[in-house]
Amino acid sequence: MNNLMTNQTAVIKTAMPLWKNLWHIPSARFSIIFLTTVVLLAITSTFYLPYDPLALDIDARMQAPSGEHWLGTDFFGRDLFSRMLVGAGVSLRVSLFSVVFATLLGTLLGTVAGYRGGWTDRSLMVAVDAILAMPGILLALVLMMILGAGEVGVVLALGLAYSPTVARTVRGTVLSIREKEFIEAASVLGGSDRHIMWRHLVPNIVGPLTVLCSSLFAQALLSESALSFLGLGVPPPYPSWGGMLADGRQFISQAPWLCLIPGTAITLTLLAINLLGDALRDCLDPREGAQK
Amino acid sequence: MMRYVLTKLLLMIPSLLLVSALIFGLIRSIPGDPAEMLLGDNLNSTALAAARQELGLDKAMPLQYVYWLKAIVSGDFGESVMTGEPVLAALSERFLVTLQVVVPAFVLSILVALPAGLAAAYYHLRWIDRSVVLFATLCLSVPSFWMALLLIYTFGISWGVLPTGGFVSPAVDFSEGIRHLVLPVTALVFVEIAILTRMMRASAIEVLQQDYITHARAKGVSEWRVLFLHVFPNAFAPSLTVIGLILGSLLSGTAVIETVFGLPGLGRFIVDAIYARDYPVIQGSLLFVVVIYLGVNLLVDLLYPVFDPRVRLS
Amino acid sequence: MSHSLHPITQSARFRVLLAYCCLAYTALGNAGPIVGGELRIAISSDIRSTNPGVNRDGSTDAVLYHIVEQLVAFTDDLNVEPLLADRVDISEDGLNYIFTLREGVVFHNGEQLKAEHVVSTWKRLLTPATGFRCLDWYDGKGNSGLKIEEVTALTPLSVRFRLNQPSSLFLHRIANLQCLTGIVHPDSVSSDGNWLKPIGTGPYKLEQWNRGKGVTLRRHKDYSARPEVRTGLTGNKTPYIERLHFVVTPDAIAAQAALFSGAVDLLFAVPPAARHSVAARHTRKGDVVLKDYLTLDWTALLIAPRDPLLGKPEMRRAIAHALAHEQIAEFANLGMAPANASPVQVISPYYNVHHSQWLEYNPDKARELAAAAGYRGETLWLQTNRKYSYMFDNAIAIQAMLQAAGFNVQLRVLDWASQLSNFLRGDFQLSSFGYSSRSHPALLFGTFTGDRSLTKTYQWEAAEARQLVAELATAAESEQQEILDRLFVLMREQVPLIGLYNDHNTDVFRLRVKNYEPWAFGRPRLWGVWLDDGGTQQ
Repeated sequence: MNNLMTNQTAVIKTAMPLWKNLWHIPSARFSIIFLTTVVLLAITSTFYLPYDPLALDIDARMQAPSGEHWLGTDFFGRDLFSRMLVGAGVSLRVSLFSVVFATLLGTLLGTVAGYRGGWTDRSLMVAVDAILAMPGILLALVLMMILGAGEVGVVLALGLAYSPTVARTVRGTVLSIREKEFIEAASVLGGSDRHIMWRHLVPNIVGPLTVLCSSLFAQALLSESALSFLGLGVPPPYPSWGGMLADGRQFISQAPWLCLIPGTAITLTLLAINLLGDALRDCLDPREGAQK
Repeated sequence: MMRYVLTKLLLMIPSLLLVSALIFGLIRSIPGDPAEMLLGDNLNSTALAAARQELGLDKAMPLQYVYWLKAIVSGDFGESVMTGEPVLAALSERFLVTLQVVVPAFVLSILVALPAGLAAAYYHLRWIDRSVVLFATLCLSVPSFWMALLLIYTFGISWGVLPTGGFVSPAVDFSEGIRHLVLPVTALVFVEIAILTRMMRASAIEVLQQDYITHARAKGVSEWRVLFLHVFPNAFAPSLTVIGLILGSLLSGTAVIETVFGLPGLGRFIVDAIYARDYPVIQGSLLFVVVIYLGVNLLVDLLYPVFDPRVRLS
Repeated sequence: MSHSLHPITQSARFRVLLAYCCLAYTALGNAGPIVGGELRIAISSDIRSTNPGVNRDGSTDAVLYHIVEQLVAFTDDLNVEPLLADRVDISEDGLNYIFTLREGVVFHNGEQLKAEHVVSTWKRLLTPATGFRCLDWYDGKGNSGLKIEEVTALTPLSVRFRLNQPSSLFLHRIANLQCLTGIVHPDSVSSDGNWLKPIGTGPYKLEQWNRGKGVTLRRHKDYSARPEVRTGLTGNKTPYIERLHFVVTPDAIAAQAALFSGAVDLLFAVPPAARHSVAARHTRKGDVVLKDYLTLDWTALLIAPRDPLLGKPEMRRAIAHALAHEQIAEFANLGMAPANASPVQVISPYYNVHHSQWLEYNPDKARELAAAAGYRGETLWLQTNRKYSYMFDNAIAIQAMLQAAGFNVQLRVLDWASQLSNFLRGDFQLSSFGYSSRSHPALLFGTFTGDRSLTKTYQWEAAEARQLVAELATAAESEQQEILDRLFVLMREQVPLIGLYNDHNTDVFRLRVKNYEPWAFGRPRLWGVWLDDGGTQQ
């Protein structure tokens, strides 16, 4: 009983000043500002764009960045700045949804496996390990071919490819909670198994899952660009950053901005996400916290 | 020990069965088939039917699976539909190329990452730590093919000092071989360094807080001895799992890097086969990759007690 | 024997003269052919096999036609002229073709070419078990119903082919590159019928094939060259360079970098989008040379023929009116290739002013026609892929233009195998597609005209069109122009598909490569080419 109390308060304690804590870490501050800007730009792009990102302009092909076209134009004379804005939305949306999908599916599988135990657990884990043993990008590629290239296809393919990782983490947490005394204590007090599980799982899983999700989000962004490179990413004409990078690479010597700009955008965004993930881990991990 | 290995190996059987079924099912669900690809744009329905029959694609799917599985068990991986070469021979040849890129990258990343991670942990939250972390995180954030592209652009196109494609085995021509490996290995190595450094740093930080380190220091053991005799082995053990995972996935080939640099490695082999719907090649190679992955991880399991005596295999 | 095909035509005679002039000139300049050296050519994918006409793709063809030779072959201007044959005599009724072989032609294994080798090669090709890709061109089961009844050796140096019907395309088919009918020595095949390696008569012989890495060919020292000037795949094909390395370089950027660093000497079929950077290198450093040319490849927008909405002629015309033809060609080719809606290729001898006229760009008319066809803004899916960048670029331009004219078109980017599979099944609404080089417009018409209930790849089912295409196969050469013109008029009315342009390509090579000429098929020919440093520099 005593144990249960302290543990819950501990969770609440770290949860409350999380944002404040994060803000005190310089790298996290940079990340939050940067990511917020990207998200705001992506949102703004649905209302206002300097140019139609799809309009072909035969007289303005592959122009270098200028006052008229801030980031230059591409092979079809489309304004790169407008495309980058729209692309931010597409890329973030795709990565976000695939992580959400992976998390939902993985949590479901992991909880069932950890909670049920026995044969359910064993067979689910064999399946999970089997998928993990396959190279992720190839798995995603094959899934994309089956599901059809499209935002939904990418989301499902990446989500399916990542869900085993989530399932493993969740299962581990579930198992460790099951073994803790406070669960026994709670069940002695007479709560239903499922109810207990849920109440204790959620606060305990949020930490590791948040950290995992931030790294999965980064991976999704990377994988989307790798898929585009291999020929099957988010389909045009609406651009994703990965797709723009893949399209721009053939012009690297004549119009380097076409591949430098999306590449830099992806790298900076990933950097921000990764730094934020690290900061989150520092704030959520009790040991790290204790040491400060 | 023997029993442990045997149990592990036995446990791999259901995994492999499942993987084989999964691979088979997935590959057959992709639209298109090798007969169509083989015939290309000059084909007609009779030729197509004949080709399908010859490839055994006209049989029921479960039957095809059973045939394939039977052949695999007897060591027959079949032949590539596109080139007719035996899959197993082709696989081993491609795998050798992948090895020659992956192993140097892997060794290099360990040589850099372990000291870097250790140093960062030792100077935790100081500028060395911060710069190591920032650098590692930056490396983690660069898309690998973009990095490859920038390398090709700088060293291949602008300066023209290094070959940007193709593969020469160092066993055949050492200096040329090394020159051809520089760019792909560089493109690969940064990500590996990043992952390993971060892992090493995290576990070393944890070890440094343990009581026995404090004791050792209190007893007047020199800092170098503490670092190398106490911290390093204990911090290395948890990194071993990650190393195993990385190596396992690297050995399955790095499709993107291999494509950019024109290396005839395993990754590109599989991707090409996927695009060509070359069923025997895809199935055989994916199964091979999974076996490698499971094998490496088993090896890591076995090595674990060597570095961390507290762990016992059971 | 009425018609016969002689090697020296009027224009060829002129070329011989020209060649002598060139020789004299080069002799003065002391820059004549140098024997020796090694040339590296980048190929984007490995060859499929060394078995001509059986297991092939574009890279495979390019390598194999250096090794084997057919009885007749194309010239630069797409006529068919003798290659291994000295002359071809055709009987009055058009059923018997007698090929008289050249004397002194030597296989790579040192044996002399004899009529029996032609017979054995063709017997093998016509055996279904061989898996010859174009068996139905010759076994009576194909479109035209043409069948080779018999191949017989008349004398040690003459062979007779007996056909079931006269055909104006028979020689064109023998000369075809995709269905290479190269004559091989029987030792190329094992006793149980398995393919071993090509022992041909070509200027190069196979030295080594490193799967995944590339192929090496070696100069055939005893190659017996024809006296005429080099043209197409015939004429003087003397090899000068000792070794040809076809190096697999899948990534286009890496291939370019390899060219600039000298790791490869030649890139062929560089698409317009990539041409820019090579051109920049040419002006800046001057160590590479560019040669531009139009190919026979023809890109097209396919429109589902039996779709309830898209099948209507008004709807098809509406789509045609919505596309600014010249602009699509301009976009994809950076202004280096004209639009061409006609299957008669721009460089074909049959191309004339009739074939340059297509439905005019008129979005208003497009809207009107679409409304008349009952189009209410339903989503139309346009399939394309990223493997072939021109199909992708066309799709982007087509989508933008159709959107602008009020059509709700969405792109569906597939991998090539999926798109091809859909094409074969007829499973698409709109498809951005391309037809590879067909030497004769009749062959191109033949690939998309026919009864769809037999083969789903046919886009044009109109009885009138099928009748004309059938006539084309048997018509005399003098009548073909008129039939082709009538076919295109019919196409303008019915819009079975919308042709866009013939691809523009560029071959790029390093300065030390001499006497290289690209040609319409977009693949390199490396005989008659030499290295000015004799290959001393690597």
